[in-house]
Amino acid sequence: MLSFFIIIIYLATGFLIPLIGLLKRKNSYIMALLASSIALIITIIAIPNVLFQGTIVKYMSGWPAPFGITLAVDSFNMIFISLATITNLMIVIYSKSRIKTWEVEYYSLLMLLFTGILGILHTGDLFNMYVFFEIMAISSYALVSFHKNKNALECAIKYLILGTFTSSFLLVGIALIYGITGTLTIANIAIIIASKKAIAVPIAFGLIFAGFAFKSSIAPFHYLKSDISQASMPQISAILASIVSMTAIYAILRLYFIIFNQIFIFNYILIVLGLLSMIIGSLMALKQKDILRMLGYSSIAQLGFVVLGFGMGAFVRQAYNAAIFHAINTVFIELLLFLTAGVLILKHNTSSLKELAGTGNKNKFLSIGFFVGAIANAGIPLTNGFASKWLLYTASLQINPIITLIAIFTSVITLAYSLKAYVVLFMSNTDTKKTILDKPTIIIITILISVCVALGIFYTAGLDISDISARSLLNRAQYIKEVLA
Amino acid sequence: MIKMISYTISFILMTLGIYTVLAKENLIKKIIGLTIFTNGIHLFLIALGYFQTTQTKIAPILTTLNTPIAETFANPLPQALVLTSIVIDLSITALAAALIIQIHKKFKTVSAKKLNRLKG
Amino acid sequence: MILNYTQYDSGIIALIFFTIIAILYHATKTKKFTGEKTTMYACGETVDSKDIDLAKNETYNTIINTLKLDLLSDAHSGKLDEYLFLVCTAAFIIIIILVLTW
Repeated sequence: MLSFFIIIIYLATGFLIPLIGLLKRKNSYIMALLASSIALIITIIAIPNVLFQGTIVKYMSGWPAPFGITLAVDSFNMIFISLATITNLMIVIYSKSRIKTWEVEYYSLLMLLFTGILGILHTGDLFNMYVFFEIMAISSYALVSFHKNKNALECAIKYLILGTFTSSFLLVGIALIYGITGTLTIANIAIIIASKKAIAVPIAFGLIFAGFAFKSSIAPFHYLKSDISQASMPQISAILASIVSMTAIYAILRLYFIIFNQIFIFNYILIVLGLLSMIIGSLMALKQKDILRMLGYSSIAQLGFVVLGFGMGAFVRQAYNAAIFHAINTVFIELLLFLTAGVLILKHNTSSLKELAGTGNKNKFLSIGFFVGAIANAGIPLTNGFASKWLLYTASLQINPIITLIAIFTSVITLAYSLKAYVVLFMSNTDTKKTILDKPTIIIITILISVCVALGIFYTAGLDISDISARSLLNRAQYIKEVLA
Repeated sequence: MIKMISYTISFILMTLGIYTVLAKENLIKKIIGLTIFTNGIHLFLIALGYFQTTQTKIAPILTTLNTPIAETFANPLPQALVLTSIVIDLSITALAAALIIQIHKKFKTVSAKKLNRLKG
Repeated sequence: MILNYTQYDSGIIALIFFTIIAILYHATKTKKFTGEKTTMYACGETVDSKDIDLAKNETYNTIINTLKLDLLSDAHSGKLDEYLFLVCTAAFIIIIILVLTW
């Protein structure tokens, strides 16, 4: 399996950077850039393998299926793996000129965070998923408190206590599943659990859902998301809002569709929680006076759309395509918004809207970036947000028109606060100097703008990719057959 | 009988751990509560491997002195899971301790009620 | 493999690239900041920019007071104990719903 080497590269780099970087500090950036580029090249080579072969399975150290740890990659995995490697390369290039002290610790923690993310995306074993989940979580606790100012320290200790609390719920759920079935491979559990009628099965699923839902900020578990976005660096908030949330949603869906397929009430629960996230996220963002907090609440609302799509898919088959397409779009939109606002925030060392008023007046390029991100967030045509949201609206009309009404209301409120942020940052009447952008930042923002516009105009490409992934997500029998063969 | 005692004690430990995290105000007491909670889960996991049949189990070590019968060995897989989980909990406690020391330097307090700068 | 690529598509791609490059070129030429405000048009009248100004904090006060968003904002108070209690309650309710319909 070719993409397994990405995990090895990130893990090895995460441990080699402190060794080599202590001699000369600049080497840490060069090593991180090298590792991210090699990982992206490996991902691009590995994509056609997965498309032609279906599911690729690797048994670690040769132990066959029910006895050892298996890694299983199919088309549903491959989208999130490629999104994770692209995000890693962009964040490493973006942080070059903005992290001036403690680079060694920063880049090694970043590599370990992405080791955790890619480990969850590859694995086919339940406890292995828990171990990589904890690697990702501990790296993110350390990265949130990186600059050690008062806000960051307070937010990191709250994040640590809440995160460990819910991860322990996840461990109780895994222990219950092990007690019922006696095995830890996901495909093997799926065969055994079909014949057991124990009451512990829905309890275990509820606990596992609570464990993953805190990291992905679904509605009643969304509490610290905006505080974390306010207190940490803009690029770390971008990672936590985009790819970490998508990884947690991936983990819930993989476990639901393979193991717990007979619990049908979960689709209704997903629809209700999705609607709740959309309402709470967009309405709370109207009152905020701080740009990073507003973007944090906005990301909760976008994730509500994704969760709503996956809930509606049991009734309307096209909603799965719409949800996966909206997941891809959300990653790019959140990256664009956070990185563009982050340039101004890191230059002026504040994030409240009153002090940042008009600081982007002379930067026309940043204003184009933020504008495209804002209208893509709201779902205006010619951007990628419109294509996926339109599919969600038409799918929800076939179920209940109230869902469409709430979704359109959320999009309107999103447009309201996004435009308010744009006007305050880029059109206020103050006299400011132009922020000089260096070349790597210009390249990254250009790539993000062109991806957003291109996926909006050539939306059929995105829909074809989502269709291939949705087909392999729902194909439970082939996953079990390939892993246990 | 011993099976019921083990499971009951592990559930009591989990409940006491959750109560400590929720009700106590000092940050250090909350971290201790998290450790009690995870130790309750570890006891639950090991007890799953010991009580599958009514026979009493012995430690799963193969020697040349006895012929191994599979039903008398305790299940070694949950013990491996618990070892991994103890290491994870150790690293979380170390990170939490470092954060609490820095909080005490900047805020001069370790009470969770007074850490309320971010709101809304 | 993914698109049926015809010659009209090349024209559309060329047009899009030309538009993007033209916008970027015009946008990166810096203009002088004159400092005078223009009047706003609102359905037949012109509105003074003191009344409707997106940059003030009181812009959306009508929506906030109608929907009583201050109550919702009090639920996100920032205290760790309340957040822990609400997460525990939410997990408990979801488990009860899943068990009752098993």
